[in-house]
Amino acid sequence: MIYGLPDTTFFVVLLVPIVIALLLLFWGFKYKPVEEN
Amino acid sequence: MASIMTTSIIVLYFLITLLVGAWASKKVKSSEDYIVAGRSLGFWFFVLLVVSSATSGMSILGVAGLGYTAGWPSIWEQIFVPLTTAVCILFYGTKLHKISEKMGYMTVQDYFADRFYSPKLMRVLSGLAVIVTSTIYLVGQYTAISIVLIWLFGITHTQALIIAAAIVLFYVVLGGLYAVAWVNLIQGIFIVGGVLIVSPFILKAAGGFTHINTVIASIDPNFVNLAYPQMHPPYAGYAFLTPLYLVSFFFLLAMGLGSGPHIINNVLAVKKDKYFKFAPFASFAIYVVIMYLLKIVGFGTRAMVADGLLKVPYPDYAYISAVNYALPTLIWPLFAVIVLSAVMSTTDRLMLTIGSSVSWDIYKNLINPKAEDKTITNISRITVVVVAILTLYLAIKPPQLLALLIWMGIGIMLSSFVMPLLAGLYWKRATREGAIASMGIGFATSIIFGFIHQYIVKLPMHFSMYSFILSVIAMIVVSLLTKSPSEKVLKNTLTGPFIQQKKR
Repeated sequence: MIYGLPDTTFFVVLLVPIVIALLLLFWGFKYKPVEEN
Repeated sequence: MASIMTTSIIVLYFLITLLVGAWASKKVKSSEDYIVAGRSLGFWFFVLLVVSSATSGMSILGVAGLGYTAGWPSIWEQIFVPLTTAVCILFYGTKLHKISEKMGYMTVQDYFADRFYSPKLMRVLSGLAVIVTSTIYLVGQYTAISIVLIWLFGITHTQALIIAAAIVLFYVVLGGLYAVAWVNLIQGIFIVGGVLIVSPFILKAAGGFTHINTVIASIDPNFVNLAYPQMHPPYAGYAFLTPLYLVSFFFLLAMGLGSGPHIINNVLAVKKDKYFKFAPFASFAIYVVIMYLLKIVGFGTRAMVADGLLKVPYPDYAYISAVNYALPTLIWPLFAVIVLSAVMSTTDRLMLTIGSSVSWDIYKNLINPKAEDKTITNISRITVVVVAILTLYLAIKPPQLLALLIWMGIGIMLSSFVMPLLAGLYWKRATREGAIASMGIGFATSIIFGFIHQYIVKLPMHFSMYSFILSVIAMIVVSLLTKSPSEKVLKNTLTGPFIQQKKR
């Protein structure tokens, strides 16, 4: 138990948003838009 | 009754939004200014516009309410909903913005009409779906405004609705998307700042994070799990968030909500393509923190009720009850401003979306193609007024199925828009007939499945999942059976399995 939550619950609710945020950050660095004008 | 301080803060808040509306109206010189803010939105305007358009009033009261009722298994809502802003910007927005800049689109229906070479039928069908979903969704928003104003001022439901509608109407009619974007920027700051300030007070009053989890686990051990056991029907009314249901919840919230016209049309108003680099990250990161806090407040309120510290009349009142208990009276108006901001920022965007659909998609493109620019803006304004009166009437005398209607609103978005959008943008073989079949079948069957779920038999997944699957099948089968789109159409609308075409 961590903070009264089962370990799985704690790590999933903590890590899933962090992983998504990191992936989106990665996209930000990778995407190079070509401006039309 | 509200103190003088509360009244002055709320009045000040309303005055600021009205002044912004009046100021923004000076910038509106053409229908492009009114509908897409002259395609001039900067990075933070855009990010906060997307977040606040998605953060409806029900997502402040409803999120805490669902947390109060269902515990941690409902936390997925707080991951999927922020994810929808990122999905919307990244998968729909990046490409749509590029195409719309090139082709001068004002609404997503413009894109549908061109991509599916169906200037009339596809435009009318998607325009009607936009008007229906936005109107349904709008009625639900008024309920949240009413709950807050009644709590603060002890006025009647009708008075609360009329005050709120009059103010939103004023700045939407005057300033269009300019006003909406500016007001939403201010409201977005209120929502983010307010939730960050208010929530820790409530969590402290509830005895801290560990205590909250221990108490709710003692009510039902599944309250601290990630899902309820997979069984149908569920063992309790609140235990519907089973793994299977969560799959449909992902599609509904992460894919469906982001395709909602009031959210997706924002991408057409962005100034530069480069904002799409970090906008998905920024909107997700801000939104997820706010949503987590709101949800944990819901858990905290449940723990406080179990500890006998307070009473909650009904789940959607959980956040308000907690604020009432944990915060000094002085801070109440701050909380009221958060909820009002959340409701009004969705309400104004929805009203503008309906206005643009009627004036631009139906009137200009179907009835009178030679219509002058001024006429389009005015028709949009008249529509906004008519819609406000109609939805106000529905909210004053709410239909018995209000909650069903709100869920149906998002369900129809998922079933009608997601497949035509995704297939249109990324699949060269998607045809006009496929899109019409997909949208028509998705729209009709989502209503049918909604009523089956409500009246005949409870379904193990969200009802819109069934209609969404049918819309996917319709798109694929009908497209493959009909003639491919011309190369010219595909080239003009940048169709293909890429987000950005490589320079040749």
